[in-house]
Amino acid sequence: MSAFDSSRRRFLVDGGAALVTGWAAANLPGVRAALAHARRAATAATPAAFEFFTPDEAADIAAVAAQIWPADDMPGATEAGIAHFIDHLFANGADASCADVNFAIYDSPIGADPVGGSYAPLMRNGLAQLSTTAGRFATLPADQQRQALVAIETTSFFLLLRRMTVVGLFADPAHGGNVAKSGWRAIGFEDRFYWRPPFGAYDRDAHTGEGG
Amino acid sequence: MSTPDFVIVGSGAAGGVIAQELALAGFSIVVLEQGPYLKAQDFHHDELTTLYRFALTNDVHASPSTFRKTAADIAQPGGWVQYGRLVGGGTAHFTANYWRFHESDFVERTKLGAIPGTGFSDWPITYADLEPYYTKLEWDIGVSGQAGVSPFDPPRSRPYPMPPLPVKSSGVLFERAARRLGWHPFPAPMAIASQPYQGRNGCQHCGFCEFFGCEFGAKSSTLFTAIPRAEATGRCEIRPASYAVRIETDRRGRATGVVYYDAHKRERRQRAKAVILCCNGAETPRLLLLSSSPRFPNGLANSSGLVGKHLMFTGWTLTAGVFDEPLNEFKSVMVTRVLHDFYEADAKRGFYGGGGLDARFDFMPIGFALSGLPPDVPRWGAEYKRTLRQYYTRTMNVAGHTTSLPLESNTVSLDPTVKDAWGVPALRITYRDHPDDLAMMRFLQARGLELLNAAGAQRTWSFPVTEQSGSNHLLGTCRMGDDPGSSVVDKFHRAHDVPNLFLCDGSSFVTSGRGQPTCTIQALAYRAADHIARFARAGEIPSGS
Repeated sequence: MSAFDSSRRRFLVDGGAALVTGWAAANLPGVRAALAHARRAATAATPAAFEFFTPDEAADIAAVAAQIWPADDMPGATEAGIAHFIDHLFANGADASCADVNFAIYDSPIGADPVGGSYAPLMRNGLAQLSTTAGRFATLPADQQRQALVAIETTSFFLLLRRMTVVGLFADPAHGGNVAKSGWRAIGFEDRFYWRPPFGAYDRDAHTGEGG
Repeated sequence: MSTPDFVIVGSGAAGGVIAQELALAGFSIVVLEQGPYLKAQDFHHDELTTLYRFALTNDVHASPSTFRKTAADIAQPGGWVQYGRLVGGGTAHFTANYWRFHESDFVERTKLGAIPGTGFSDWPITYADLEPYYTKLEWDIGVSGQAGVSPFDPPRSRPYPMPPLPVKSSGVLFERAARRLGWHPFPAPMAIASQPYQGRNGCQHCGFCEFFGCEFGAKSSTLFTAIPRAEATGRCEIRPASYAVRIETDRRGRATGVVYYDAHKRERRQRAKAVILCCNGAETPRLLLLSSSPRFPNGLANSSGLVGKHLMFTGWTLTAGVFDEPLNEFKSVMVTRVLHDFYEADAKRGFYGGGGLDARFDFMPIGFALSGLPPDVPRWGAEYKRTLRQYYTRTMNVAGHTTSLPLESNTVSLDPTVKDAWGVPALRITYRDHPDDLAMMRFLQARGLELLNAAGAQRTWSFPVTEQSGSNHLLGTCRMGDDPGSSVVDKFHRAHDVPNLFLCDGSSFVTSGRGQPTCTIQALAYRAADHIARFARAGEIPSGS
């Protein structure tokens, strides 16, 4: 079930009145298709093909994303399907919506606008430069990867890749990242969208005699 | 259809209310709304689509704006002017903080004296003039709160119709610390139903109020209140996907109707006996400036030259603190406790200004992961992940909401080169905070940090106060006043220059208030509708021909 409709369904189950139905019925097929795509990509024995990037480019994107959000006792960017999420953004022409003007309130600027409506040149050039005489980035040992990223962490290329990785980790899974809600689970966000007090540790004893 | 009595441009905070009141009074109305007509079941919690792809707000790509600090600069694409672009307007996606203005807000110029270099003025109306409309508004749309707790509350003729929403952990910590500091916290007044109200659901605490539409219809948006009531009269048509680009006038200088583009970008024309603009503080002056003609060479209703001037964003600051135990601030409404101890201007501070503080968590998951952590935390890697995992459920913010002085140099105008997706000159914003506005933001931010430390935060941090380049509070650009030489509309929101043109939204403000304008915009709308109906009945609104 998509996160979109879970609160509505819970509300109905819990006996909520006066609720208009229809949204879920109208939107679920598309949501399900997107979810299915993401799940296939993340769990299939043969990984889903990339639509936009070459296998080498996609492997480098996955390696950078895994350095940005490594696995610990919770899954990392790899398990969250970030490489496929980013590939999907570019394949659908949605990469330009990661521009600074879209994120003006909530992220410091990456300092580069899309060229011809796409970040593909910035991304491809950046990936090409990541690979050195020592080999493609994805094949380097982890500590060498980290060193290489420290050296470029203020570049537009890296900041764009970071923004896309973070968006993929914490956006609704319907967009293809955050597979199995692994980004949300890691930070403790629960997508019930339907709660009753107490909400947290400090309001546990605060609700006697309260309205609502 | 015969010519309607009124065409209203904009269906938001003010437009929805005026449509309801005039329809109930027996008048026929067409409301033009540039955005879509969504219903509760269309809303969801998709942060990516809603915040970063503008599902409910003006799309910066289709409707670009340009920004510069002073008139000497060439404006560049950028800055951000954000408004709700759907039926219900800003009230569909707002946080729903719902503070009344205080008595002093209307008479500060008299109280404090002139502030050189600014347009600081009294309003032509007082709090007492507006109080009956605040009360009507609170009961009509449904506001939750608790009167009598804040010693700074202005007088009110009736309590709130619903009890406050349940306190969150941020509210408990805020309240405890504020009392320790000798301040006076109180339950946040919110335009959200804390219990079932007039056939609407009470809040289900989904946690997605700010920037999102309410899937339960519990947010007291005009989308769920005034607009359905207006439509139920059978005398009001809401026409979405209708992008107004010009007000037409006749030879006598009276408004005859509105030219707009429909969903297929076909030019349409809606005639009416009178025109009411409720587009917001950026789009109302833009539409007037777009409506210039030989008779109105500087834009419609602009004999004062003040259309678009005195733009006020209001000030905004944010601090953060992380605590030992989970607060889980992603649940329920954004704000449950507020304080107004610093609301009044105080000469001892050495600068003009005032404001309020509130307890909140101002981030959705993507936003917090991008920019919510302390500045010294790495932005990627194992330490980034460890910190984000620890902090997401344990962080709260204290926000400061402060004044903006009205400056004639802060303006909305038409960009000379950049055009929107309809080929219409883009909004150009020229804006620089007054030094006192920045000083007030810093002052209140320091109080926020003090409060978080008194609350026992493990560590605190703050987001730098810098000159603002955008806002979703758009105020002052068609200010009201008695003198046609120094204001755009009179105290009844009628344009001084055009007898059948009314302007009512944030543009009517004379001063900024303290960062929470919507309640006052809507009280003004109830009052404006009352007077417009009276004028219409008395035959005192001459129509165009």
